Amino acid sequence: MNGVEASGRSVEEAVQRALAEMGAARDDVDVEVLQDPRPALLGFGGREARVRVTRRPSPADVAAAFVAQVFELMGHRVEVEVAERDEGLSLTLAGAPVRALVGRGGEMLDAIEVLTALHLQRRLGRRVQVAVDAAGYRAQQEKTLVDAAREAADRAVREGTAVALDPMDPKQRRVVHLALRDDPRVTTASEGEDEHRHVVIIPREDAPART
Amino acid sequence: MPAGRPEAAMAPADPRRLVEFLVRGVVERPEAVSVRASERDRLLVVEVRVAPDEVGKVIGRRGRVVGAIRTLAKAAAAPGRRRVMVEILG
Repeated sequence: MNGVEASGRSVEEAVQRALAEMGAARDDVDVEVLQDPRPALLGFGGREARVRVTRRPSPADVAAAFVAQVFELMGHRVEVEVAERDEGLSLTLAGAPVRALVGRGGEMLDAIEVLTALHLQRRLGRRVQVAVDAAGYRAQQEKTLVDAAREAADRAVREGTAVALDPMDPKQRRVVHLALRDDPRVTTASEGEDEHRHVVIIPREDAPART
Repeated sequence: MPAGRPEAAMAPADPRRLVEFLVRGVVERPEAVSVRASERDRLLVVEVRVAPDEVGKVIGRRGRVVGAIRTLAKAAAAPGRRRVMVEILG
């Protein structure tokens, strides 16, 4: 997109004319001043301001273009579908073999999330959360995690002892906490530092023991 | 309609260009980024130079960012079963 060029007696007037033509708001555009205005001297030599106004790409467009280019450089042509949610962007990849999109243990999805979020932060100057999925991998991963959390809760209640799960990243721990939030038999807590941080499932003292 | 490339004309994976694109995409001064690659005994070494004050950002907290870059570089090099090393220098 090359944007719209406009002129006016001042830069601001030129910008306003361009915005009116584009039907855009001031916050959605970038302005390049092509020519500063100069007042006429004795009726000679005056000139108008000229600007080029370009619509700023949306986070969704920036993210989709970035991810598509990254996969192209890995030798794959992918389709990137972007949904804008309250908490950030949700990207769904398709078009290449699932193992190329997901990677071992989801490492490709994780890596794309990290780099796309950082790219958006640099280009837009603000943080945007990015979630990436392909072939329903994340949903499956979450279901596995929830099942494991419920089993561990059963065991904690049955044996009357706290059960520590494997270390997890913040997102995974959140899934576990949420999965057991409504289980009246147990409480959950996160313990340990950094890469050792893990969820502990603790039976409530007043909970009825399972028979 | 633009004369698009046919689907079959997909360029092969290029770990060096990939790393360059990724690093330029996450720093504040892309013009300060230069990337050199050398290959020996099926080991591809990709050496990235960035502005000294941006080295930390490219590495990331506990190596999170450079780890992600390495994951992608490895995938890009996989067809030839090459090993890849990515180094970030200031």
